[in-house]
Amino acid sequence: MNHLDEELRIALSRKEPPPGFAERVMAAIPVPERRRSRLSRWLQDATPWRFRFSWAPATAVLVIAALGAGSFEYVHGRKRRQDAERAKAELIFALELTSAKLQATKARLLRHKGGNL
Amino acid sequence: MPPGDAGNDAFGLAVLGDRTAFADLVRHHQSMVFSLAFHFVHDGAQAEEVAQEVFLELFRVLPTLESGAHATNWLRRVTTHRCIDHLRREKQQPRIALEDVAEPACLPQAETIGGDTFLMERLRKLVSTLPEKAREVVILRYQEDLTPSEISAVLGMPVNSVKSHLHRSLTVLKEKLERLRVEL
Repeated sequence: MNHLDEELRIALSRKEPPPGFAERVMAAIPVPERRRSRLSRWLQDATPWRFRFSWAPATAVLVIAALGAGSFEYVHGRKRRQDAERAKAELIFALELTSAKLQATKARLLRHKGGNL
Repeated sequence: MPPGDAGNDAFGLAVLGDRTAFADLVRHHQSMVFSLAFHFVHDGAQAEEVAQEVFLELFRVLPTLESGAHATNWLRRVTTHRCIDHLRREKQQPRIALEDVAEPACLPQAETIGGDTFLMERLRKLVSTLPEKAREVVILRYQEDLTPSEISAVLGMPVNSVKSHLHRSLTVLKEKLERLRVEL
């Protein structure tokens, strides 16, 4: 049996698995959720600062967007009001001019027909 | 450093949840687990599948194990059990291995196949044809160099049964090997 013993030891000697075996095993093991200390959990759950800090960037973006939209609206509104004032002034001027022309025409007609109108 | 120290260190840290230590533990035991599976199922891909399954199970049960030596024995026992489960599943859903498709018309002479002699390969194949219990015993005896009482402790089998399996297996293997030598 001694010869067979030796042959079996050689035939059944340990073999290395294919390269990257341990990495494949580790990849198949789920990563556990990070464990937090009791203090850190208490801080995260109880303090309002966490809430404020997490919402601060979103709030800042909203405020900036609202300010931008407001100032855009203000500038455009002012321009519209100025345009309306200018149009109103031009209309009044045109009406005054027309009225003056009509007055002049009326005076001319009265002179021409001897004042019977 | 005495053998097993690296495994023990890795075991201590891995139990505490250190993933790097668990990876070291896998590297420390990978050749043992892979070889046990390979000699049992006689197929590299299937052996890797079984070995991965065993290490995933080790990760789950690690906190229940007491020491590095306990983990080593647990790995030996569970690997042989998973191999048996695997082979039973394979019997229900057989897969055709490439080597089984075409049998060579004549046996090649004793030559080197992948850095190993043809005779050694035939001997491994013969071991893989032994009955399950006998195969477990022979692989643990010659791969892991365990004594019959150590094998008995790993497999939870009486020492006399281990010795009996070993004796009968060696007789069968010797006969088959002699026949193979005559054919060559």
